[in-house]
Amino acid sequence: MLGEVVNSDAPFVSINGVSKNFGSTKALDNVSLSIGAGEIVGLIGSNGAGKSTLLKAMMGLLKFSGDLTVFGQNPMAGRAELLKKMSYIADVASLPSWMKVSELLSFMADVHPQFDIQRAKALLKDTPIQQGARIHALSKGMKTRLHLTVILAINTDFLVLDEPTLGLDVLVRREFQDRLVEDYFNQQRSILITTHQIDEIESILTRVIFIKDGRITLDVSKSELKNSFSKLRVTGNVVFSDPDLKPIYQRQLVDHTELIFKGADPKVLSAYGEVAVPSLEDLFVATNS
Amino acid sequence: MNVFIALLKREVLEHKNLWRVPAVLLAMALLVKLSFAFGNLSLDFDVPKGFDIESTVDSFVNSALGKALSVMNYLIMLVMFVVGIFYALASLFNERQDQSVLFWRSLPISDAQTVGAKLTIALVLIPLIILVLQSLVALLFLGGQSGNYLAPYFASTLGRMGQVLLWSMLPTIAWCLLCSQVANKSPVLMALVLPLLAILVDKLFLSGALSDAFVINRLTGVDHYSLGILIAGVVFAGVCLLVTVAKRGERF
Repeated sequence: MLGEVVNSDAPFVSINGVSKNFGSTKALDNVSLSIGAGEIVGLIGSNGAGKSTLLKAMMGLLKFSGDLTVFGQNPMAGRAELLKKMSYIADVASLPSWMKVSELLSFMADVHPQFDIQRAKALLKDTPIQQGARIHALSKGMKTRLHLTVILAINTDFLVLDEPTLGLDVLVRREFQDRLVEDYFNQQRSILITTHQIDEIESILTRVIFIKDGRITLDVSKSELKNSFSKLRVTGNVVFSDPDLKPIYQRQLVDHTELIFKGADPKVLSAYGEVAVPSLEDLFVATNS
Repeated sequence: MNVFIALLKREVLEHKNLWRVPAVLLAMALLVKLSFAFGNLSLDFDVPKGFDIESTVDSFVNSALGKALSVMNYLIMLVMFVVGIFYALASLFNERQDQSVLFWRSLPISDAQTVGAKLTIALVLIPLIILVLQSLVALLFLGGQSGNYLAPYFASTLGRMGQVLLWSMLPTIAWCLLCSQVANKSPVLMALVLPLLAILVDKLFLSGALSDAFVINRLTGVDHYSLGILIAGVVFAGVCLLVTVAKRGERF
């Protein structure tokens, strides 16, 4: 039962060998991962890579083969019950525009047992949003802020965001991320964010998962990522004397070449050129091409 | 229970016609009443049997006023049922149009609860609004004597209204909710065109008896009331509602 105390070491989400076929296309191909407390996980993939299919499977919206539990339970068993334990934003432009802010808050208080209306009001005090305002009268940025505020006032330990900042300008995006980290995240909680815009969430993630054609191509923590990947920038042609030194990706630019290495010693690499930590975008391209 | 009441409250806040139309109807009743006092009201409109009161009972009021009351009360019922039909056609469609369905479905509310709330609005709240409106109009027309009118009026009409609700409104509303959930462009068009096509095929190629029994007699009144057809309608409504809930569940 969801009402029982879950062992604090048990993962929030546990996925083991999950596959899903749509006709002959493999939307998910033997996916395994688990998410525990204290993580901000970025699930990153191109459109059609399987991100949404994986989220839908987690929400109990489609059948799949393999094992998948959320808070120890099969999500197919009861979506409404599950949503008491995890909060979720499918689209920040989805708040009902005809509602007043105050009506939204009291509705949430009535339907969601974990919603803390006092906290929501306190969080709203720091914004220009008036409680008497109608949602359609708010700017896009303010609607996003309101949605996030409402979600942050729900006391659940697991927050799922599906392409949360799609179509928002850079100021709103930055604000959104700052609120997540300051007002929600702590060591007891976790956030799962899906996106295909990598650069914008890189800074807040603690763990990165790349997905391509339904398969997980990379799953590393941010700290691990720094240790195991390096980017080398060389000018002119280069021949590596060490046969173990094989780049996983190579990109020819106008006046230099960029090479991505996995598991290579940066000290060894620095003999050939400038060594840096690759960005997520570099890694995404390297592992997906 | 708290959740269900919150869902009902949400519907009333969202669909303003649920209280705007009653306000207009009351204003109309006020005009009719004023016309009695200062104008020259005459009514050429017959209320179907069963929706008026027997002539022996209404002898205590001015007969023109009594007739106006019956007409007004019948009008209230018709208009509010139409409001219910358009409410059902709009409610699930609007959610999909403005994307708010994504928000509603991110909350711990099952699709069955949501669809159930919408059905309750159309089949419980709207009939209640009708009764309240009819009582208010009687009060407006007759003042202190309204009780003497309302008691026999409701005695003769309540049963009829219950019949209409089960016989005509339940299948109609369930069908409209289904169209509201599945139509791509226009639920109104879908709700009208599909039954019309079915009737046309039946009339042109078959005897036409099926469409008379299952659709036309149902919509034209309760004169052809029969238990078998009533049960068929309830089963049809149940299927429509189950499909509606399942289809809403496919939204991410």
